[in-house]
Amino acid sequence: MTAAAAPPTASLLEVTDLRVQFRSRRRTVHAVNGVSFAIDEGETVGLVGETGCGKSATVRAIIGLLKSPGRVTAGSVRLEGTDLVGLHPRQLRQIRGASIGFVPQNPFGALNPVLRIERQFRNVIRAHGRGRRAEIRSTALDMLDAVGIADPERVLRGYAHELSGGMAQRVVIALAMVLNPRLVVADEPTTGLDLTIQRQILDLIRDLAETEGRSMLLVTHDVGVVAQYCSRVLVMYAGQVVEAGPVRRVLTEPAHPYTEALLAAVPRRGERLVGAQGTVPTLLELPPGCFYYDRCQYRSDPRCATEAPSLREVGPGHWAAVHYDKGAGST
Amino acid sequence: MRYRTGAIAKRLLFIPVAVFIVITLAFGLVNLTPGDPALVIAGDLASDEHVAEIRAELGTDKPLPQRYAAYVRELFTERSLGTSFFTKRPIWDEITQRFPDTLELVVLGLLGAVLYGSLLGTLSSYFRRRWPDTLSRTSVTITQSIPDFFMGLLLIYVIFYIIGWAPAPVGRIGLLDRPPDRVTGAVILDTLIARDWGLLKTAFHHAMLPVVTLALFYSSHFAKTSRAVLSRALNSDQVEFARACGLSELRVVGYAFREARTPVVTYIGILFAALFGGAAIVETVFAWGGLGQWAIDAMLKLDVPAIQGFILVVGLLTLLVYLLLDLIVVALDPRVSYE
Repeated sequence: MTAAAAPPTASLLEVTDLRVQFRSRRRTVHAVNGVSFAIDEGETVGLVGETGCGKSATVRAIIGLLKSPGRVTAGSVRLEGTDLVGLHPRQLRQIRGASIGFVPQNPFGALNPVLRIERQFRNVIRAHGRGRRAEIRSTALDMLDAVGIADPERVLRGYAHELSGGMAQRVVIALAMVLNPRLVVADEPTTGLDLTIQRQILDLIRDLAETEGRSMLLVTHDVGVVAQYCSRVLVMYAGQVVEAGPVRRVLTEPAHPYTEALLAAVPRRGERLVGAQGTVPTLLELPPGCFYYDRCQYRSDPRCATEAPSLREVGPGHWAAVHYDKGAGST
Repeated sequence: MRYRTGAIAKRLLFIPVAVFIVITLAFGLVNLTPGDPALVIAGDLASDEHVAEIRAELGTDKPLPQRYAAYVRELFTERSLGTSFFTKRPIWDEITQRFPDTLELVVLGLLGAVLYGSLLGTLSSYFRRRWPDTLSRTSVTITQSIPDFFMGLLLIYVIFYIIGWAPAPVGRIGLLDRPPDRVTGAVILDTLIARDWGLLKTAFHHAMLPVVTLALFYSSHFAKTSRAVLSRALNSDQVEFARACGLSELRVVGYAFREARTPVVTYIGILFAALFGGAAIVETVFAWGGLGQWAIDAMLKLDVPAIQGFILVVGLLTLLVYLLLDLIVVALDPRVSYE
């Protein structure tokens, strides 16, 4: 009903009021509770939050790969206007890989251990159309070259276990981007790689996105990564986006106390390490008020305990889900 | 690749030792167990002198080391497994005559077990906690809780006696059918070679119930293994990434199945070797006339050379199958090496 009324938009991806639940006989976990955001053409958006905040579930809902018993209970995920929620599995399959590339966390887990890399390229390309062996081979070689693999011929002939961690992730990126998807979703793509390689991989992903004008959703728990690679950031807490806005503004003038705590927890030279207090609520039963109420140091407004705050604009393009303007006292 | 050939060579070096152990075990198991074949042959009313005479004739009056030496010498110099105490025929002839029948039963039975079991396991893991899973697990619970001989009898009762779809359990072919010319010794193969289609149909008809018995009974192994491995594989990052790349569900299950390949192949090998003796009861129920049935007979009669020969042949066969198994596993999985 809202589909017809929705105004045409320039956004590549538009997520509206997405809700995901993991329902089992005994309990229901409310993993994602009304997430809305958009990603424009060529934009790199960071999604940050601590473990268990619903980042993964949001990403899986977007690519339509929620693991059972998780399912989308409400909302829409529009890619170039098409709602992916409730799309026929066959059509969704055509979109995955071709329109949305997915870069997972663990490259060794992602690659097939018993198939040669060349065969894996062939399977991906042929899943979306025909292709002669030689053509596919040269496409794969070009792609491996583009992700900075020094000896693509040899890699193509070999197996996943023969690669180093950084190389394996490059191969995964090549597989995810070989069909030139408009949107790349990277789920903590550098967890488990050592620091110097993390940097290289992130640089590579950014370069690949920039040169082709791709959009990217970069999921991470590392605020530093967001600062360096993203133009906009979404901060997630307890299955909700609690703050969204341009990276520079959100990181310098956080409007939500959770973002503030997250930033305070970033280790700095010469300072004592500060941990965020408390943990994410269990998400089994949603509290009536603000989800951050228990951990919040600014709570004062009576509405905080009883009424969930919705996102409101606190600055140009800067949104936060707070009742109170925490800077209000000083300004 | 180089270190893998080295590993295979190492594996081959182990073979002579294992062969020697099998030879010794075959002798030891039979000769160290109590029981005097001479008494069985002579019967209850025989005099002591007569029994002693028979012992001398069989050679069982000599001390154990001497008998062992004679057995090994005969094995290597004359390539002989000795002659049966009862039929006086060479054991080797007895075994080669029956071996093809058992081979056919085991191959067909295992094939059925693998196909049916893997199908159950795949359905079960793909539709986890939905009705195909429940159905498949019920099937597994039923087939694994009914002993094979009882399942055989049950099938005979229902399918032969009540419904009448299967012929009487009288062996490979009907009592009045003329067997095909012996080429390989395997009835189904021989009828194929003879292009005797009528007889082929009869042979298949007779093979139906014993094969189904084995297939149902052993399918539970494959169903459980493939369910466990596939369930894990279908939840793996690898499968998620394959799906994220847009691969079809069929291909995704194929990816997952490759994980299950090694354990399934291993099970096939182990059961294949085990079934040469293990199918004995099913052979007996269906009067199949194979190796297992013959071995049970020999054991009841204390036919020492026959039992020795059976243990030796099945033992060596097991060694061979396990060797092939290791080679296949190496060939299937690029990650495995015996370093």
